[in-house]
Amino acid sequence: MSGRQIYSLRRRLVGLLIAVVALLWSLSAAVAFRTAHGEADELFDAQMVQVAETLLAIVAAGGPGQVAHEMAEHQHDYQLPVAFQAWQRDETGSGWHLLVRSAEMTDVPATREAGFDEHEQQGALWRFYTVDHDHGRYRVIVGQQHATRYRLAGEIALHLLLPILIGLPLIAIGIWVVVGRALRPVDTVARAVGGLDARHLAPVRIDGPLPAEIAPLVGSLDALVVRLAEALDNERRFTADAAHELRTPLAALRIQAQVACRSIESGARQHALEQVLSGVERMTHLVEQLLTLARLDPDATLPDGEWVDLAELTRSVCSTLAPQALRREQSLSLDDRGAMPVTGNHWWLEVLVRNLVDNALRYTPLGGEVHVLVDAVGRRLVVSDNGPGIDPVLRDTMLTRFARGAEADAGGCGLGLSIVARIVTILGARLDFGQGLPRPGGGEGLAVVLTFPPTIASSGG
Amino acid sequence: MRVLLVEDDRMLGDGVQAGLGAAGFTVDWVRDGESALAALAGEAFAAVLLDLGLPRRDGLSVLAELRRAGNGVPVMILTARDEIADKVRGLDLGADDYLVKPFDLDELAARLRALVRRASGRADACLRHGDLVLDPAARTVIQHGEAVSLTSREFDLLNVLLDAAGRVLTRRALEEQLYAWGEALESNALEVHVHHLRRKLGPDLIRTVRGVGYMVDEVPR
Repeated sequence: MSGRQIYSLRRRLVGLLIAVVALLWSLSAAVAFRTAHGEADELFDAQMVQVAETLLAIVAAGGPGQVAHEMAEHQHDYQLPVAFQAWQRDETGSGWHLLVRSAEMTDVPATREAGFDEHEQQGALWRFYTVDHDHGRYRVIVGQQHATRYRLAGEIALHLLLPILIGLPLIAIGIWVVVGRALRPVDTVARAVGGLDARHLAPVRIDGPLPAEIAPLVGSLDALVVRLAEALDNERRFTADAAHELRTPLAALRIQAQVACRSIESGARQHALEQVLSGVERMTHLVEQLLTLARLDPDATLPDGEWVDLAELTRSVCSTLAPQALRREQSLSLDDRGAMPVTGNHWWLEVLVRNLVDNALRYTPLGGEVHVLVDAVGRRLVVSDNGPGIDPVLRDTMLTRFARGAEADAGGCGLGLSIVARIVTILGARLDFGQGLPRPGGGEGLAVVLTFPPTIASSGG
Repeated sequence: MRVLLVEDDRMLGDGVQAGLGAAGFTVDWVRDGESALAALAGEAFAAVLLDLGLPRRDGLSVLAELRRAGNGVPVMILTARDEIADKVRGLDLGADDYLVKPFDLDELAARLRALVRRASGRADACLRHGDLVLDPAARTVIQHGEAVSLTSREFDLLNVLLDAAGRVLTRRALEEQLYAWGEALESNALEVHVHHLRRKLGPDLIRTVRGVGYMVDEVPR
């Protein structure tokens, strides 16, 4: 189990979109509430002024009795939205005499400025409007609880919000469906990828059109699948080839050993036993080469500052292989023109040079010629022979494992050149095939040309 | 019994040729697919031992070509590929048996004998003719309940004649079955062997069809 958190894109999209919609809607509701509240304020203030003026007119014309009568009459129809007090100044002019008041308005003193003001009363916030008439003889105070205004503004805001509250779930369902439809290609791709068979890797098959956002994913997947299939194919071929290369000499060993056991005639037994020995030699070479190949880690990188004199190394390799050449009556010659430092690990370079020279000796017939040139100026190592050469058509395949030229008798196992190719890649060098030495019967043998990059540490560190 | 060995590995081919030779087979050896087809087009073999990884022409392609040409010679595939799919492909293309390397010499010889026996439509490992019993595996001949001592060549000749009982075999067909390429055969060698067989097994067993060849009568079972 990986610790990766898995989330649903669909759920996340629905959540985000709903949150955004709700936020926008709430903001607009808040603005609406504020506007409604302002409008209500103006409306109620106007109403208060109107009521006050009316009351004042009634009080001035008909006295308190008339007011009480009017009020009683109107209360049947509707509750006045405001509370009120009507006062008359004393004869002395120093005090006020309450003429009439509504029930909610009890202890509001008459002494106050004319106009609007607000203050707390009985635990609630009130707004008052005070107006005088007849040079201060009459005074009317109209009051209204602030809560009334809030209630109205709230109701307006609620009316605005109500469709949102009902609409939001509907929008959520809508988004859910739409997002689901939009994401359907993702499901399709997932199913197609899930249906891939590791044994028969083929590009992802998707019927119908693909959205531009998903198409690159499918493209990259297909490219990956193709690369994987190639790698798998390569491995499968290697296994089949390795099976052939390992089992055939084993079969030969076994059969020759059985023949040797049964041969009564000493000449035949001798022959079979020699075959067994040469078979063991062949298997040893094959196992060595396989181990070398396995040790050449494909991720290997060049060591820093390590360098080898290729001329010196080639000289030592040639002296090791000289007896082999002598046995086959071949002439092995070396032409080196001074030291040639090459960046790299000693073992790699030795394997490289040994494989090239050994290959040339193996594939060149008895009495043949192999020439090695270390060219420090051109930074080249050239191994030429007058063997059968390689058909230009086959040259590319020669670098693959177990590939051998048409003449497969030389006792090689077909791994030499793939080892060389891998080391060449690590060293950043280049491998070319060219025309080798002239052959006795006409034509040329093979020349393998390695070109090395300039040494970084030319100071010789 | 003459078999064609198609194997590109020099050491294995050498061993199989020597080993099967010691087991009483006459082995001709070619080392690539084209030569195999050429050999099979010209001569009769009791069986073919076919390697799959061959130069110039792949073993499976040789097999397919052989069957396309209507050649029903028993074919045993010798290969290092041991995946089921490979075996199925080989058998489907018309191979009769399949042996994975490395194999045992005795098993190879036994399977070859069984292959040839089945190809001639017999289930019994031994060839019988009256009270004459020839055991190809043990290379023994018993007549009237007693072992008869035969040379290797006489045994092979009797084997071929009994195997084809009821049919006349020409001199050429017999020589092809008995001698590998390059083996020296004297002009009257066949007559000498027939003469010896008649002396050891009685004069009536092998009949001479003048100007054509020899035959052994079919005995009702």
